Amino acid sequence: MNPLVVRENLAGYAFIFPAMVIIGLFGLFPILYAGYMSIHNWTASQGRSYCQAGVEGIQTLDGVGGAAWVWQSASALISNCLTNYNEIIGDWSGALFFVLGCGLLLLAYWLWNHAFENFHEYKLVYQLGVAFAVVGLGLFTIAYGWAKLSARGDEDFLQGLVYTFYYAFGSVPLQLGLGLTLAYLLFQNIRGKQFYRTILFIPYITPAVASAVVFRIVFSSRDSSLANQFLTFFGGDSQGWIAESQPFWNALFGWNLQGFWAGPSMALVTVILLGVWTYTGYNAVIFLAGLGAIPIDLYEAARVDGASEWHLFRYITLPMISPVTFYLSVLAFIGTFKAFNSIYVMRDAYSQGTTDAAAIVIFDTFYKANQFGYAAAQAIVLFLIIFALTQIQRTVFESRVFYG
Amino acid sequence: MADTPLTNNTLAQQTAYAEGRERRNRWLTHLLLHSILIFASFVALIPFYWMLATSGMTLGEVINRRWIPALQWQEDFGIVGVSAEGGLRESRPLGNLVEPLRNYDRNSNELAVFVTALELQHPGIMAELRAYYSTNPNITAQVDEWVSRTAAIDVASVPVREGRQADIRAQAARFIRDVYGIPVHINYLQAWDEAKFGKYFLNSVIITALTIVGLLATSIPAGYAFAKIRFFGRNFIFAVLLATLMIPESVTMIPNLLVVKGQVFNLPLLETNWLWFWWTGATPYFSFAWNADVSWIDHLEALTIPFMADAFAIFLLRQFFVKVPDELWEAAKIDGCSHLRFLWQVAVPIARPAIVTVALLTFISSWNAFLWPLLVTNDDTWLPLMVGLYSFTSEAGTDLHLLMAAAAITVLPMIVLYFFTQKTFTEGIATSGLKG
Repeated sequence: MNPLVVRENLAGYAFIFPAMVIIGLFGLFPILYAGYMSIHNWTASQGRSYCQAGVEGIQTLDGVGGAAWVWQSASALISNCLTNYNEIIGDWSGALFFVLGCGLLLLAYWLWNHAFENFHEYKLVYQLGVAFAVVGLGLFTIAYGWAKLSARGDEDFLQGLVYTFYYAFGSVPLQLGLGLTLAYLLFQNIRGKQFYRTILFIPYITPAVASAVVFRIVFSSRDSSLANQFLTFFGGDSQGWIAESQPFWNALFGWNLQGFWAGPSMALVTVILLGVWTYTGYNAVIFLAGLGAIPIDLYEAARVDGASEWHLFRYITLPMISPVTFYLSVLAFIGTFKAFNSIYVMRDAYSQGTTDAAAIVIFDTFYKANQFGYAAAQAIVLFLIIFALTQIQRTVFESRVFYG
Repeated sequence: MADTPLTNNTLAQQTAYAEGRERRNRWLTHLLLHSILIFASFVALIPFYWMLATSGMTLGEVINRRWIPALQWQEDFGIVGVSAEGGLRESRPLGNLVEPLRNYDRNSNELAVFVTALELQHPGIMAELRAYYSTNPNITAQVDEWVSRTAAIDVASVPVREGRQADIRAQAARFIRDVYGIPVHINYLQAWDEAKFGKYFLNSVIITALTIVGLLATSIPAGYAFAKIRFFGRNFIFAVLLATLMIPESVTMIPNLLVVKGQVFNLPLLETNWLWFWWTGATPYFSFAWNADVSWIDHLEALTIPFMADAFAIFLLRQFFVKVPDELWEAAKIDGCSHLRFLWQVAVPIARPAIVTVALLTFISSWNAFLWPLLVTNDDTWLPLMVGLYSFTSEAGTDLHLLMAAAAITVLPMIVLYFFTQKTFTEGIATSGLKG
């Protein structure tokens, strides 16, 4: 070996050593260890207990021997090690149906975009017909799978996933839409652009705990709270806000929808408002940077061709900004699925757990109920969902992104 | 036949007309744009206004749904509140004083103690009350009677139970505060001292500073190594490093808590609290332990060491170090320069913007950290500001003014930093997508 190469190698390892020790210990090791914990019945009081039943299974089958014995004992061991996951999922066929339904929705999206390229007459009719059929089937499969899941699975965690879904799909489109609108307004060469940008960015840099504490009080259920003063000033009724467990359709309009369609509770809507308030300005600032990068001659050329303002926005701005939109939406979805701090602080006893998104449920299982192994399994399930979502966004929607 | 000058004239007129219309349209558009943007800014700022306003109020003002605290100028306090007439401003009608006064037995010594305490806190208050009700002879007579009763008694020697006397004085003080508003910083002082936010603040400062220093010390060499040193397995290790970024905190917090509790393997613990010794002047002692009993719960180690290296910071720094031309290093190597020296004397000065960004991002995440500190702190030895604020939401109860003062204490450093380093701040966050 060349001594110079050895020295170079040694220098490299020495340079990364301190960082790798810490990241290895607190970033990498926990991932593996969480996996290890998740296959054990691990509580704070009793410590870990191994897959006992699996071992027993092996012992009872001791006399059989041969390939059947190996197969049976192995499957017994595996199924026992998956006890935590079984408890969360309840019914694996339900999970399968659910995933299948999501796959059908993606298929419908693909069909809509690609399957009718050679159709010239009645293209829209075919597109709509097939899309409706597949989407309907997909939704039905999802509903069926979800019903199976929630019949036997972990009620709190699955419900937490539903709340997470509400939170994500309630706040992300709103914050992106408002952010883009504000960015577009700021982009119109107006005075005080810098000033508005500075102001709009402030909610984002406020510590999440502090803004949640302020929102808790602004949106408290008292008549004297700021939100209720505002509502009553404009002739509305006082709302329970963070202390209201009623679905918001019901609380606001008296519509009594059932199940999933009942929508988020008023308390969760308040949390969504906090999310929108926090991230709209941030999105606007990032969008503004993206808008600045669009070549101005595109607009000029289109204007010469007589394009209206709306056409400029729809056929130049939106496609050219799509990489930023994509980046922000991926980031926002991951963020909402991981969201903990603001929801945890906004949690109110009177909302009866209707704001407890998945991350909160995991925290409770872990910290309040002290079921470490089970919480680890929940966390891993959540991670897999986030991972699947990002991959879907990457593979499906990135093809729609225009990178110039 | 066409008259050329006339056509030109019409054209000019038409152009002028069109320009005028366009200018008017632009003006209207801008008016609309500004009003939308002003509304958005208003929505963005109203919670802050509300927080700051409430933090300067008395409980009475909070309950009475005031929008603006009654602040007045007073020599020793700074800003305090003034009314339009130039006198002391009422945030609650002065007439409310009649009720507590009537609640005392008119012949009792307690009444005299109360009136004396009121006069002591705010000289001339009884005269003001009399003037306030000058149209109502019943009340003026009553006020005169109360004042004369008080004047007849030597309050210092009246037989009132000791504890009761303090109660009465406290009631008088509360009343004065509720009526006349308070010095703006009183709530802050109370949150800072009594609610211990001063301590939490200092804890947060220490934790953040240590984290930043530690993170830079580990991540700068690592970022440099991944960019400029060729060693075996470099790309693989870097890929693994980036993969850890995807894992949510929910997954890692569970094993990590067991680790810092010392339940997975033995931890080292240097039992020395330098700052404590520095403050108290006690004799420093060292005790180094590395055994099964050691837990980092409620120790500085648990709050700082896990964050002293960060894959994302390494990534950011690496991207910057990659830009340093290889020729520089080749030239330095020929002159006998080591990697460490090259890093310190050439690469770090070049990468200063990236280092500032990393330090800023670390400051933000460390200052805002909530979930992990919540897990690893049981007592307030090293309790950081965010956890303190969270637990104060339940302790403060109806004392919203104190809660808001506490919230302002946690927010203000961040806002101040934002205004001073705005460009770095915005760009740094924009490149990183922090918090998500």
